[in-house]
Amino acid sequence: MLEILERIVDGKGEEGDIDLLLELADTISATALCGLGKTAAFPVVSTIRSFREEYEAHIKEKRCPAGSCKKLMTISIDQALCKGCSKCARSCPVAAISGKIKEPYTIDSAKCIKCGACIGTCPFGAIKEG
Amino acid sequence: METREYMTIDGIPVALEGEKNLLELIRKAGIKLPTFCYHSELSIYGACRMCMVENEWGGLDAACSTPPKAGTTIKTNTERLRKYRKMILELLLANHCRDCTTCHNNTNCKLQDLAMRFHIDGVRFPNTAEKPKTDDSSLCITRDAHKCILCGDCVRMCNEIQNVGAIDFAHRGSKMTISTAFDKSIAESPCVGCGQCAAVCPTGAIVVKDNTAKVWSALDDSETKVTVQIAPAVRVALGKEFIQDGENAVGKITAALRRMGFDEIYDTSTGADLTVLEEASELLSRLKKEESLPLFTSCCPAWVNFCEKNYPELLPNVSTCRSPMEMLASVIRVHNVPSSRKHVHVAVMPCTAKKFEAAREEFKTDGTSNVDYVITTIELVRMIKESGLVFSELEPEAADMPFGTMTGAGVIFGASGGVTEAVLRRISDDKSRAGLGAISFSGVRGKKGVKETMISYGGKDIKIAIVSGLKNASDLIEAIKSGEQYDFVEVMACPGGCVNGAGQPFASSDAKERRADGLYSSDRLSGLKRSEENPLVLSLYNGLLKGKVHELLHVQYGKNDTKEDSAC
Repeated sequence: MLEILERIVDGKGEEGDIDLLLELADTISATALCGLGKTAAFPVVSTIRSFREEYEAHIKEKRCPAGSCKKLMTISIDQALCKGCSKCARSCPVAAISGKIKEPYTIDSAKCIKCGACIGTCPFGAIKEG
Repeated sequence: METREYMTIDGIPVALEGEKNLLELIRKAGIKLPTFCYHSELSIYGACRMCMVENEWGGLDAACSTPPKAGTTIKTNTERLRKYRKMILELLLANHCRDCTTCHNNTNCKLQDLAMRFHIDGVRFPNTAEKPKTDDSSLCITRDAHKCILCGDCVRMCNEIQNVGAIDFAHRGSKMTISTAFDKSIAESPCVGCGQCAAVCPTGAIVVKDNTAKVWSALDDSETKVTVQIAPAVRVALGKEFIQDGENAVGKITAALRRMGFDEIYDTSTGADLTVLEEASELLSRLKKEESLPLFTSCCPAWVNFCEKNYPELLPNVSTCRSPMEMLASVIRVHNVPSSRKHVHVAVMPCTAKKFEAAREEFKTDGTSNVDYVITTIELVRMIKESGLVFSELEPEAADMPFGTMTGAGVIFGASGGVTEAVLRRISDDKSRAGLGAISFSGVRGKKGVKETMISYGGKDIKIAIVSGLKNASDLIEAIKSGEQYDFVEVMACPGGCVNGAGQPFASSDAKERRADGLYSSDRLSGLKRSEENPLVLSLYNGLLKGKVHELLHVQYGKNDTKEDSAC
């Protein structure tokens, strides 16, 4: 189960994974030898019950609505809010942000490691993740 | 009036007759409930979860670990249960090496059987397990952890029945493996080579080491003379593909071996006769001197290993007689000395530990082992199949002289209690038919793990114990250490004796009993009942063995006691 979940948060989830998880959880809850084993799958079942659309977003759109799956997260600069102060570019540890002073900056998502350091430095709240 | 109690299984009432658990009751009702980890002789483990049944409230119970309860209802075949069983199988298959076509246990594998039975037509989980290294350090067994399904059968066999404790579970969760202490190789572990772990393994994770290729190449070499000896237990246990268990097929086996190209075919029962004579005189001389009693038998190599590793102080009590295989092999070696051709001697045995025994330093002449290769019954079956011989159509043939005569006493060696019975026939004063009958009914026969009997010899009572299964052996040794007196102790490592050796094809417990019965019926059919009646034995003592009895037929265990050597 863990391997399937990890696959999903890595953006490699496949159609049918949710059903497979539910089937697995059902088998484990019904047949496990110990009480701990019987309940081990419950968190997965309840998250699927309550947040099924989030699972689907991960699998189908390769998107994490809550913004907590690093591999699925993108950080971008709102071009309308950015004043081109360069603070974010200076804070970036991998030099993924570039641009001209007083013009909107951009993030190279191939270079970005999603550390989020830039978000806190922006005085205008122009950098968003999701 | 006594009323019988019933349970309802799949709508049919089934009477309770003291079954230990639901599983036995369900099987009695003619339903083949699938299991991996259930063996009636081992403790209940409940790990595989294949035997789950649905109770009347919709709850699920593992049939192996639930006692039957009168008046209740269970179902064994519902949509839910089928779904769970399929999922469990799919999960087991996910991390299992699926190279079935090249597996030793192909077509002889419970996992494969059940996957077929439940129509597993695909595995949705990727195999993420790393392929562990195969451990072929032992001369007797090969372990491939990649094929292990963690049912724990081998662990329980090794600990509960054999009291060896060479393997156990290590690590937890998805990292769990079966391992020796400190993950050493099997050769460095306390393993005695009995191979019972391989006999209970439902997959090919532990298999008997294969020597067939070496035997074939010896057979293919025209410069080499290949002789072979067939152990008593082999003839009654070729497996249901060839014969019914218990049917004596030595004639057909001989015919098959001859077709395959073996030059001379001998019967290990002859060696057993030599063992009986030597062991009987050893017992009598020890009784006379009243020293080193009880006398332990030494025919079983796994027992000798076990004794060396766990009770070295008892080695002086172990008989100095070589095992029948080694006695016959050393005689055959001497007999073949003036040969111009290279000589290779093969032994067909029901036993995995014999492979180790054959390689022991004690049994080498001028640096070469007296038995070059030991193949088990399983390997013999493999060779017969490979050769394309249609076993059912073979005409039985006789073994070759001079080492092909058998007596009833030699042939019953394959069953627990057989050695004792043969020795008793030798030392008993009553040589009449009634005397023979009295010995066979004195409690030496039967499948019980511990048997005791008492006979009188020369006005003295001789107390005898017969144990099979090494746990029973160590319990007996502890009893002896706390003061229990015995004069003669027969030990066989495999429960029930050699007929149930790990080198034998898989069989149900009924079939295993029939194998022992088959040996006793061969004894009944044999005109020569006692070892001393074997004409060959007499001529050997007057000829080849003259002045060489000690050199060729005896051995002192414990002399070459180096740690490396004792590893199986």
